Amino acid sequence: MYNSETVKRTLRSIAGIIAENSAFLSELDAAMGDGDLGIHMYRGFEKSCDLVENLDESPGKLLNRAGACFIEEAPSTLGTLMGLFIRAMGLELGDKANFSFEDFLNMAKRGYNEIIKRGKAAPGDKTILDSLHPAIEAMQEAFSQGAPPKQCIALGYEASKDGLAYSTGLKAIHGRPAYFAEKTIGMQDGGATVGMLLMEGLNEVAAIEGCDIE
Amino acid sequence: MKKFINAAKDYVPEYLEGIILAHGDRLALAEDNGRALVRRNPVPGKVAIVTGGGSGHLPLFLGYVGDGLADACAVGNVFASPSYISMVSAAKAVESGAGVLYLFGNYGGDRMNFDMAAEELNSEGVETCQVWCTDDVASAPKEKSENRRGVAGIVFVYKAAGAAAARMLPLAEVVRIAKKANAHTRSMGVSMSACTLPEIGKPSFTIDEGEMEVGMGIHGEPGVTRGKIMPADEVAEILVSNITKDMEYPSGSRVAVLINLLGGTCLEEGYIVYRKIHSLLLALGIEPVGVRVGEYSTSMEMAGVSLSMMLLDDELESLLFDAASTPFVVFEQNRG
Repeated sequence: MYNSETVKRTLRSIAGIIAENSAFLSELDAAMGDGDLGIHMYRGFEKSCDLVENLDESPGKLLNRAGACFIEEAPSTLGTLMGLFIRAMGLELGDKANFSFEDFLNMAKRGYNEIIKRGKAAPGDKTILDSLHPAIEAMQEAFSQGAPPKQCIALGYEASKDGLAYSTGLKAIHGRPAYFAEKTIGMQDGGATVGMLLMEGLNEVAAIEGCDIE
Repeated sequence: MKKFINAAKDYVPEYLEGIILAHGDRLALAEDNGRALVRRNPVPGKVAIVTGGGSGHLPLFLGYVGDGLADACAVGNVFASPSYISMVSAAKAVESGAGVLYLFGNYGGDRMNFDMAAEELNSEGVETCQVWCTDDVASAPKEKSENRRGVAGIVFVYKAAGAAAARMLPLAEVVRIAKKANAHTRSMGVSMSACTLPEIGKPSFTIDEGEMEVGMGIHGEPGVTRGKIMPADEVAEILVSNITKDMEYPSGSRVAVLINLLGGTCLEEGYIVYRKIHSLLLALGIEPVGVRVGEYSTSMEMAGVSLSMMLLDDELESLLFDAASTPFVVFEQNRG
């Protein structure tokens, strides 16, 4: 079972990976947007990590607070969607003090559906959904076949990379990239990259020896 | 990057601080939110007009908070939507029972956040409607005009809706008028240089020396064509022809005209462009009314100019000529 410490550790791991990739994300965004994606993602994860680090709350409440903080600190389109994603995961968990990997999959699905509801996009639109969707599917499938969580997450991470690669060949139809239309084919999407980096952070936590994820 | 700033991350809070220090007799920040700017003298029982958008466009958006225009504004980071939380705070600080009109430009982030904010207000019993502006003809073809971005033409929509609210009309009427003003408004722009986001420090795109881009958006969104810099008269022709082929202007039409400068172009140049626009409009049997030339919707230091035209009928013309004023813009009674 996982708890508040798992949530804090995972958020911190993702924040670290986003920080490392911040300039790269801004470069991707500059090619078909206004070039501030890295700044927003970095600020959102840093601030929400800092906030929850010293809070003594249930894991659901921590995610709730982190999501609300993210929306305030990084209110770009993707920043808002990321905040809503994190918050929805917390809402799914409610007051539980501990949660299972199955709970985690349900949280991820709830968060994913929130992005669809608010962003009004679908997989195949060259957005963050294109890396998150295959990742969640792969984790769910592996879990259904009895694979341990660590392996499910590793497979999810691989699937997110494949999804990202696939989305690079697609044409953007949402947000500022949509104004570049055909020109976006072959360009790597910043949002899909963020989705992959989330899985990278999760995988990093899961892969640490002695970590309680398994 | 050459900017008069301190730390780049303090760009937004520090310019807001300066605005409140300079204009604190008329403007304030909401008590619960440093990103919600409100007028100090809200009118009880009036429909509250609340706007919002990214920073980097002053006087848009917060510069239109004042008498006879908007009542509050949610302020985002540079070129980014404000959070829906600050949109809710802005509305709550000024609404007084007659409902709220959220009025803003058609951009993905703004649409999503205003949608959530309106949902929250409505669920709490504050009647809230949304109107988003779609005046930029270069941003999507006529068949997809609902996808067009909002640019400087929003000024006319603020003016019409603001005057309607100041006349104490009910929310449904203010919404109808805002939609009509938007439907009657078209804009088109030309840019000659890029702009730099303070926190990035270098331009996110470039326009070569000697080149200009027709139809570029106010965040550097790609335009229709890029080519050699043309004389001002030819630029005027492009602006007028693109707008007049997009909408029917019967001979004898009266139109409100706004020449907007994008931040890096001087006022003299704006009048050189207007000089030709004026004669082109007269030749088409269109009479320019309440002409304004200046910075109304900028893109930081981007060099460029845009033309916005609102086709007037009796109702819109009457609303346009009501007095209105903010620390940034003044409309005189009967003169616009």
